This record gives sequence, structure tokens and C-alpha cells, in this order.
Amino acid sequence: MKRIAVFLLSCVLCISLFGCGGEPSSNQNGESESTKGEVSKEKTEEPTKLTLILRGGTYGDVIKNMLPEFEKENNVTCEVMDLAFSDLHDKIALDARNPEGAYDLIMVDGSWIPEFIEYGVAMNLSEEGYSLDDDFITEAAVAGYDKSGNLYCVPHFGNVNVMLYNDALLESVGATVPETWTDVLETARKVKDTGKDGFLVRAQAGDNITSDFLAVLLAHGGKVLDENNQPTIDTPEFKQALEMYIELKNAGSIMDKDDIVAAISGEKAALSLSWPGWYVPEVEGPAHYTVIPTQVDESTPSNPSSIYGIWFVGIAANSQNKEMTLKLLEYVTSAENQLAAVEDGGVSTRHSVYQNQDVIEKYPHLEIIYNALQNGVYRPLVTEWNDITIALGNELDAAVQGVKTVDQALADAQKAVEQIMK
Amino acid sequence: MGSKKNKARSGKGTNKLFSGLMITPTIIVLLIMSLFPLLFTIYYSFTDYYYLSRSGAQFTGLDNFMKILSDPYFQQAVRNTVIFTLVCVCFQTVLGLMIAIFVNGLHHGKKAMRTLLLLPYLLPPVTVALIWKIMLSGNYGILNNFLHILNLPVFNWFYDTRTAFGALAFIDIWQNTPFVFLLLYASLQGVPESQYEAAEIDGASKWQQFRYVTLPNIKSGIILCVLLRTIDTFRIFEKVNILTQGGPANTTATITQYLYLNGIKNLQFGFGSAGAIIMTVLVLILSSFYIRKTVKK
Repeated sequence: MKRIAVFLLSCVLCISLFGCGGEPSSNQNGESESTKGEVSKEKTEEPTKLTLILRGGTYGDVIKNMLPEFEKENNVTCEVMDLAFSDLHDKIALDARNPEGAYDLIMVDGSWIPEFIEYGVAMNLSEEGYSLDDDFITEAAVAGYDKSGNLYCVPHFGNVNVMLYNDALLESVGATVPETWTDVLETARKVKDTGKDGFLVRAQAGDNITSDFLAVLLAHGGKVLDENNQPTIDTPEFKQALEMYIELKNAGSIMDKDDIVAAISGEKAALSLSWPGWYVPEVEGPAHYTVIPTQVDESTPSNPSSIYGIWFVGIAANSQNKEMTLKLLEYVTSAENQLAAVEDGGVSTRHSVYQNQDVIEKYPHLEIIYNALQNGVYRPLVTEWNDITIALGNELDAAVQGVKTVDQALADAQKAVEQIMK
Repeated sequence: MGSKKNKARSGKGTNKLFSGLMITPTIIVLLIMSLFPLLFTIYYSFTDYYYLSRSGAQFTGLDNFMKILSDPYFQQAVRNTVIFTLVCVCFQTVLGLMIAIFVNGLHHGKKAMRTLLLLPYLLPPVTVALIWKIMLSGNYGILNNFLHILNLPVFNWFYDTRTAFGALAFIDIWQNTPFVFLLLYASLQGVPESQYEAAEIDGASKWQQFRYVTLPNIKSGIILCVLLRTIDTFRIFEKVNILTQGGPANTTATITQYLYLNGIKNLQFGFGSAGAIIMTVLVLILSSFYIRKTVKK
């Protein structure tokens, strides 16, 4: 008897493990209990819960700071998750196949949008009657559209790469802010001779080195993919750009993002490529931004070289609160909030913010960013871009570290990317 | 007499039935949590399953396996993993044994030493990785500052092909030697004191006592440590992912890092499943020696 009782208790315990977290039941009309719950919630005015999944750091912080007022005005509670770059992509993608999504407002890197559009991760905003007003910087918004002109994501944080430099170190070697890549290399070498790092590269494999290198590549007239999305890696321009990049690394060091900012603002290194979300320069501060050189030297053609790394906001296609989330999306991308966000380190994607003289006076570096935003270049907007950054990043890393010759690395990269784009 | 035998038989039968019923829930849980995912992984390894794709998984035969096995980066990852495992397990075992013998021989402060020595092992691997990332930073790291003061060369520890692998191995050895120490220290408690006394009477030196008394008695403990550390080190992921992401130039790429980058991160679960199967086979081969020994016993 005792044994039977023990056995039954064990079974009940096991069944309860599987019983937990079951789906909400439906009544005969097909309404779910949760829908009925929502209806009763409205009646008792319980707040609607929205879940935001954002990039960690300044990118997400500026949105977090906007939320209290929105929550008060709309009877909403917002739960925020902020994540690192690759975790953000993975979490959004993994939730995309769930019939009831966990997330409402999603923050998306521009390079992910083609994939998210093709596989139905982001909601079609045009179908909801939403469109961008003229205040948005058109060039910065391009990646948010599909090929048919439907809008899926709205540009929120105008991330575009720039050059970060330390004034004191440049002055110490008698250099001015470099305007060509040859000047950059010369200045970097002079600083290196003084015992400090001349140029810092963010040469970790994958997206880091690929994004870091692209600006140098574009200035040399090179591209990763041509107009037909075929790789153009094993080319003279690519080779020259990679050789320049290796020389820059030899005139400095390899560091990660946090170390780059600390080194340049701490007068341990002179120059590096940077993103506005990493560091907000002060007028009298030690480090400032300038535009990335578009020429190799004065005799070569000028090629736009600032890479867009714009952070967009969209609505998850499986969001359970699309209407309220659209309202939130309009709110966080409004001109008023974009202007207010500048105080928190925000980088706007609207003309009106940059045309505000008070803002430019207080934050002169925004003029550099505005220029870059209007002349920037997107990383190739293809669904295979993630795979390409891994394959290309491996070969660039091998070349920079001297494990492969430049020619071998480019040949291998060409082959690998051709396989991906087949 | 007959009824007594019948009673005994039915008693044994009832016991067997009861034992079977009691372990049934556990077996069900194990089947669902282990066998089911394993079968699905095997199934997906033969497909081109991309998580976001709406067209589902198409059968591709051995394509994934051929692609992985012929990828020079996977081959490098296997080499790195094997060398990393060998280096770390050897150092951890030798150091762990030395520390265990030392602490065992202490007359005072044994408990305090045990607690202090265990601290690295108690920290989460992510915390350990982040602490060492700060200490070995090429920019403001304490180690480089210390070397600079002593006029010694400084290194970019995680971004230099000469030092990245060694730095990772050192960190893993630092964190996991306490585990070996703990297991071997426990084994040392089981060595009969009388054997040491007998050896001393027979004029054995310290080394001879260690070789002929200590080692034979703790042999099974050492084998267990080597097995557990081998399996664990082979699967290393957090330290590599946080500190080097497999770089520089894939010199620290491990099998798990390769699978994460090429199979999981880009949601190519078919490819990732094939890699997981390959890795499982490799781990089974490594641990087959101990498994065979245990089964024989």
C-alpha cells in the first residue's frame, strides 16, 4: 500500500513537471483565455505590457530614457532586454518562429534587415499605413525598405563610422588631422616612433574586422560584392587596401572597442576608426571625431568611405501588441524625442536635429556625423551577409596576423564567398 | 514449505516490479530530455535545416559531414582542441596532485588552505574570463603595467598569435586545478597510514613512498580526474568566446567555437547538428578507455 502510494506520488510529480507552462486553453468560440484576459484587462485598465529587445549601451539607453513618459500617457509597462550585438540577432531570430512572439519592439542592425524581411521576422509597416516623414535622412533610411518599397524598419540611431583621434598626440608629432589614408599612415608611424600606438585596428575575426576594414577598402575603390552580388575580393584594389590596413596595424596595435576608446582618450594611441555610440567627445576633451578619409592620397579619386551601422527599430511580425508597439515606435523616432536623446548620447537620423544650431554648438561632433550620414555606404544588403562576414573575417584575420600572405588570403576569401553566394 | 517458497518468489517478484515502477519516471524523463533531442540532432544533421526558412529541412545526405570534415578551419579547430586538452589536463593533474600532497602534509591551516585554493573553481567561467580580460588587457591591464615597471617586454595577450593560446590555457589551468586538487586530496585521505609506516620502517625514501604507496592507492582517483577534465576541457567554450572568439587567425578556435560560429550563430542548425554529432563521437573515443574499464569491473 505504502509502495503504491509512493509510486503514485512520483508519477504525479513527473506529470506536474510537464504540466507546467502549458498553452492557454481556448473556449468553443476559439478565443484564447489570454484574449479574454486582455479584454477584461482593458475593462479594469490594467496596463498593457510591451517587451522591447534592444542593443546594449547608448543605443538602447536612449530609448529606455524615453519610456517613462510613454508608459504614463498610454497605460503601458515596458520590459526591456538589452543585449550584445550577436546575442540580439540570435534572440530575435530564435523567437521569430513562435506563433506568439515574446518581443514587441525590436532593435535591428541594418545588415540584418534583408534576412529579417525575407524570412518574415519584421512586420511590414507600410501595410499598417505607416510611412517616414521628410525629416528622416533619406540615405540613412534605405536599408529599412524591401525591394518593392515597403517599409519594415525605421532608422533610429545614426551610427556611421568616423575617425577618432587624440589632439595632443597629433600635436606632439606636428601633424594635423589627416585627410588621406597616406596621411593617416604617416602620422601613425610618427606617433609609433615616440613609443605610443599610432593607429588602432579592431581586428578580431568576424564582423569586427570586416566592418573595421571596409572603410579602408572603400577609399581604395574596392568592394566586397559587385552590382550582381558577386564577390570582387581577389582584386588589386582589395589587395592594396589590405596591405594598407596591415601597415596601419603595424604602426599601432589590435584592440577591442573598450580598449580603443580608453587608449585614444587616455593619450596612449593617436587614431582609430570608431562608431558614435562608443564615445561622446566633449568640446574641450582629449579626443574628437573627423570624417574618414575618402582618398588614398591626393592624386587618387575620392570614394565615400563611411560605413552605415545604423540601428533601426521595427515590430516583430509575431508581436502580440502590434498597435501599441507601432505607437511606441512612432514615439521613440519622433523629432522631439530624437532631439531630447542627444543629451543622452543619442545620434539622430533626422535632419531637424542636425539643423538645430544650439545642438551643433553644444555637440560639434554631430556636424561630422551629419556629413557622414548623408554620404555613407551600406554594407552589402544581402541575406548572406552574416555568412560573408565570418568567411571574409577569417581570411582578413589570417592576413593581418601574417599567418597567410595577402594573396593567399584574398584567393581563399574569394572562393569562400563565391560558395556562399552560389 | 511450498507456500513459504511461493511467498518468497512472489515477494521477489513484487520487489522487482516495484523497483521497475520506481525508476520508470526517471527513464521517461531521460528518454525525453536525452534520447529525443539526440535523435532529432541526428535527423537534422542529414538536412539543410535553416531555422528561419519556411520551406523546412531538405534531406542532403552526408553533405554537412563532408563539408565540416573537409573544412581546413574545422581541422584546425580539432587540432587546437586536442592540443589544448592535452596541455591543460596534464598541467592540471600534475599541479593538482602536487598541491594535494602539499596540503595533505600540512599540520596547521589545512582547512583555510583548502578553502582558498578552491576559490578559482567556484567562480563562474564567464566571471573568470572577464577578470582575466581586464588583467591581461593590452591597454590598461595590470600584468602589462607590472612587466613595464620591470622593463620586461609587454604583449597583446589575446591578439597575438604567439601568446593567445598560452594565455587561454593558463586561465583554464588556473581555474580548474582546484577541482583536481579536491578529488586527489579526497583520494589521499583513503591511503592507509600503516603502509607509510611500513615503508618508512623498510627505509623507503619520500620519493619511493610516493611511487610505491601513494600513487598505487590514488590511481583510480587520478584516472577519474583525467577523464572528467578531458571531457570538460574538450568542450571549452565560454573562455574562448569571450576572450578571443577563436582568433587571432583561428589559433584559439576550438570545436565548440567553430560549431557556434558556423552552425548556431547563423542559425544553420543542420550544419550545427552534424558538427555536434562529430564532436560527440570524438568525446566518446576519448573516454572509451575509461568506459571499457568501468564496464569490465
